[in-house]
Amino acid sequence: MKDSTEHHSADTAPGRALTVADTNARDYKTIVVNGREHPFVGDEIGRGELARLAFPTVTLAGQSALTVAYDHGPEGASHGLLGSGRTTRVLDGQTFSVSLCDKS
Amino acid sequence: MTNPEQEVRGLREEGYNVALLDGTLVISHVPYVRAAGNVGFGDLLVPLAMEGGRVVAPREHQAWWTGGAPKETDGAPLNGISVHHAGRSCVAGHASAMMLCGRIRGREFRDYLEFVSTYVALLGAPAVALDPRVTARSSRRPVPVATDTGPFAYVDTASSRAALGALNATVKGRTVGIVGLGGTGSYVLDLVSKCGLDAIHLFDDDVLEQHSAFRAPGAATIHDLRARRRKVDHFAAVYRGIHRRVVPHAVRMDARTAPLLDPLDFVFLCIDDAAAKPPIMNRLAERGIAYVDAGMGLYASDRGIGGAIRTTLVEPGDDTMAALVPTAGDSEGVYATNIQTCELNALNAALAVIAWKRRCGFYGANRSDGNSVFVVEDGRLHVQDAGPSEGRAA
Repeated sequence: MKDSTEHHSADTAPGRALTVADTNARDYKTIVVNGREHPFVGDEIGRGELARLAFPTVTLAGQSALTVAYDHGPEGASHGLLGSGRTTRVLDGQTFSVSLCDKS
Repeated sequence: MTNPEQEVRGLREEGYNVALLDGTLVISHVPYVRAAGNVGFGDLLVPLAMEGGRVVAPREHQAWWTGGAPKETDGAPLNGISVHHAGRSCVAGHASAMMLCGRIRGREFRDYLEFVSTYVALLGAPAVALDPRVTARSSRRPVPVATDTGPFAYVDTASSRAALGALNATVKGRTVGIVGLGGTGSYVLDLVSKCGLDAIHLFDDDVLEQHSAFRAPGAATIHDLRARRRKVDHFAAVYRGIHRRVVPHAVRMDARTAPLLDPLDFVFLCIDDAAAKPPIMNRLAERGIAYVDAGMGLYASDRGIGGAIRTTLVEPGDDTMAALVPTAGDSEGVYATNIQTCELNALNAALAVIAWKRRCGFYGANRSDGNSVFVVEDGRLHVQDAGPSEGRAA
């Protein structure tokens, strides 16, 4: 897994997704989570924030087995898996796939 | 047309020392010149072309050769046969072989007697010139011919024509289990039924229903669906057509039934109910049995279906990989969908079988398999190396 821009840190990255009312703010990026666009302010995002964007009612416990992948990310780690406790630097247009891969 | 055993007997009656291994004729003790004035011996390997279990006329004129590069008496390269020097083992238990290419001008060989006698004559002529006593026809006693096709109902000619016998030996004789015969599990069965496994055990207590037919390989008939058989019985009956040792177990896998997995070498875990996995995973960990867990998470939107399919290889003791397997159910419906498509089931199954065969050594490996995730909308496969563990590879 490419992880040169991922960090072993708390899952609460300093960035946050904006509500609709916030989008007049001047500096935000657009990220795509499971096919839906979200405005995002900040430089990094972690699994917890992504899980809440994908599944608004998810609990903390429910996040642990989620599979999180990203693409169109920063140079040197433009794609990869986002493991537990990791964050990635966010670029405008970065895409994320967040799913509980449990169907067979 | 003849059967393979008749073919071997015919060659033995001509005096050749021949055996039939994995759909390949192995002619032993064939003389040739390995260096100027120096006679050696090698084995000639000839894959049989077959149709409907019967031997047909050769369709190709290449053979495999375990000796060195054949020479003329003076050490010059042998005329009449081209040699492809890159060698590899192509029949289990036999030395690395190089490919030879020779033929009768203007046509293919009529039969395997002409095939073998032509190659033996071309290879051996310089050797006989150096020593008239050498011959490949040294065995004139009739010997019983082994007719065992292994676990298969008929000879695996796909492997013999590609000379994969030695690599097939990496999975041969093993016993695997498939827990869950939904879309992914049934495709796993489709793939592993073509491997020379000693046995394939199926575990599922569900009935084959109409929707099942649209996520499974092959084409279940309306009569299959009206029969209301268990999935394990339906699929065992279908796949015994090619692999004779498919064993059905119509049970739901839980702590009580998990010991049924104890005799297995490897398990494919392909069930929807994440909450049912812990007792299975615990049992496999206790018994030191490696497994692949396969699962997908898809969503539908105006832009089409997206999501990911995950294939996780868990070696005994690898808690890092085991932690990636969902083990809690979705009773609240947070994740909402149960979308599956047969092509993604098939891909999930193929990735699972590839991970297992790479672990066995059938496929080359530049890294230790761990977790792989295919993201549908990106068309990208992400791979995470396995964590440290004990007892890797069998």
